[in-house]
Order: sequence, then structure tokens, then C-alpha cells
Amino acid sequence: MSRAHDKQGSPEMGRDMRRVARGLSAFALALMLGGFVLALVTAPRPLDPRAFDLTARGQRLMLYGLVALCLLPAVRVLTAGAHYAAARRLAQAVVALVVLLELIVSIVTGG
Amino acid sequence: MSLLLALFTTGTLAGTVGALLGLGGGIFLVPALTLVFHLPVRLAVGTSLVSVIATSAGVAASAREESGADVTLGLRLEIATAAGAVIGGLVAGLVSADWISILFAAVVFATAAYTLAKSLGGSADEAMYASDYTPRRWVAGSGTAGLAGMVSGLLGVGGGFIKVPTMYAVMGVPLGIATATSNFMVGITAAASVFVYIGRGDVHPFIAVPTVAGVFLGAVSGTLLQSRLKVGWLRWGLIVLLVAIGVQMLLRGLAGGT
Repeated sequence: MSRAHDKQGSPEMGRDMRRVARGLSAFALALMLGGFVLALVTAPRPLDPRAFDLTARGQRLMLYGLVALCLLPAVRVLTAGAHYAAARRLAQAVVALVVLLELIVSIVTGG
Repeated sequence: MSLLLALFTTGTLAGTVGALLGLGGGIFLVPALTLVFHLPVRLAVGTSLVSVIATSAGVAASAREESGADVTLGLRLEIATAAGAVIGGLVAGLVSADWISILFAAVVFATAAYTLAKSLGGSADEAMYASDYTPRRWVAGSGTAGLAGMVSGLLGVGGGFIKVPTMYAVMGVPLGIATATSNFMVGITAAASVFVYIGRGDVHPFIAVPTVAGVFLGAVSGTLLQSRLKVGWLRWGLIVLLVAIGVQMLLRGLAGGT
């Protein structure tokens, strides 16, 4: 391995990191936009952009999407120099955490 | 609905220009949200921090080649930068909004000067990405990186205009690698402080989501356009725009009542 690769990570690692970044970004964006559309459809009119109701599923999904996006850099740090399988597992853990959280909140709030 | 569409468009423009010029979209987004949409400055900063993360994610996901970032250097400096970002985020909740506007104006002027220096510096060459280097003066480098983090957490910008010159001039890192490493660090720094803003209620999903979606789209298209466009002329236009934004933010801060 050349000194440049030693310092900067191999091109394979760079590709792996991008695959994980792509997958998690797509998940976060899908949650944000899906939640956004759902919230727009179900929010009371006139819409107040600063009002936020965590008991509404659409608005909750938006927040999950934002938090998942904000967790992406943490995944990148934790998987820097790691193999693709480890990075993928961590990204899957974030997805599982969001799904589990939504399940719990749905059961607790009954909606 | 028109407000949400306007936020999306603003985010797209900020993300595209930010990615084209290697700046975070935050330097345009905070002034746009405060001066055009009349949002409170802390809300603008919170939204901008999420957008900085989106820009970083968009660039990371769409970059075609190895970025050249020194990941080890980036992660070591990030310890100080992330700590600074959390402190900056906490301080933002204590200082007045007018002071944040004035500080933001100072950062905008510094970014204009940095962009001007980059424009005059010429194009990339082999020495910019030389691998035969050893980072030195870690204490000074980490201290300045901590300051950059504080600026990022306080004002919602990436802080590359502090980190890149520090890595290059103080730590002896080649300019190309310093820039790539700074880009790698930006999203991590923003993520460290954004949770302070989310916890304080300074991130409103209805405002953040359309803006962030726009910034993400802009960052991806800006990265793809970067190799096809000559951005030299754009830099000069941007410098003028930055000076105008800085003056507006300064006047807003001095006038009070933000």
C-alpha cells in the first residue's frame, strides 16, 4: 500500500464509504420527503410552518429523516477505514433504530 | 405552499453555488433566511447546520473519484473541532441575535477574502496533492480547528475558510489535501452542534425539510457540474455578492431588534 493510501484510505474504502453514504442519505431523504408530503396533506389549515406536532405521524417522520441525516457524519466517522460490511451494518442499525422508534411511539400514542 | 417552494428554491441555489465553489451553502443560506424570509437568526443557523450536513452527504454520495482527504488528520482535528462546535452551539443560545448577525458579517467578509485569495492563487498542480508530507504543529492546528468548530456551531457555516489555511500554512499539509480534508470534516462538525439546536427547538421541520431537500439537490448537481463548468468568473461575482451580504448582515446587527 502506498503512503498516500495509508494516509487517505484506499480507493476501495472510498467507494464503500460512498455506497453507505448514498444508502443512508436516500433513506433519510425518503423519510423527510415522505413525512413532509404526509404532514402537508394532514396538517390543519392555514398551515403554520413554525407549528410542530409530534403526535402527527408525517411531522414525526420528517424529524426522523432530519435526525437520520444528521447521524450520517457519525456513521462516516465510525466507519472510516472500516470494511464495507461493518459500515453497512452500522447504517442498517440506524435504519432499524428509526423503525423501532416509530413503532414504539405509534403504540404509545396510539396513532 | 409558496413559502415552502421558495425555501426549496433558495436551498437549491445555495447548495449549487456552495458545491460549485467549494463553500458550504450556509454562508448564503443564513443571510437568505434572515434577510429575505425574516426568520430569527438562530432558526436560520439551525436550518443551515442541517443543510451543511446535507451538502456534505450529497457531495460524499455523488463524488466520482477518491477525494484525496487525509482521513486520519481529519479525524484527529475533528476532536477539537467537534468540541468547539458544541460550545459554539451552546454559546449561540446565550448571546443576542444582533451579535450573531454582526459576527456572521465578519465571517462573510473573511470568506470573501479567502475566496479572493483562492481566485488569485491559480489552478491545481501536482504539489497540491503530494503525499510526501507530515502534519506538524498539532497544538496550534488543533486550537485553530477548535475555533473553526466554534464558528461553525455559532453561525451555521462550514468553517473551511479557517481550517484550510491552518492545515496548509500552519501544519504543512498540501493545499489540495487540506481542502479535501476540510470538506470531509464539515458534515461531522455540523452534526456535533446541530443536536444542540434541535434540542433547543431551533430546527423547525417544516422550514428545514424543503430547504434541506433543495440544498441536497443543489449540492449533488453542483458537484456534477463542477467538472464541466469554469467557475473562475463565478468566483468574482460571488465575492461581490458576499461583500453585499456582509454589509446587509452588519447593518441588521447594528440596527438591533433581530
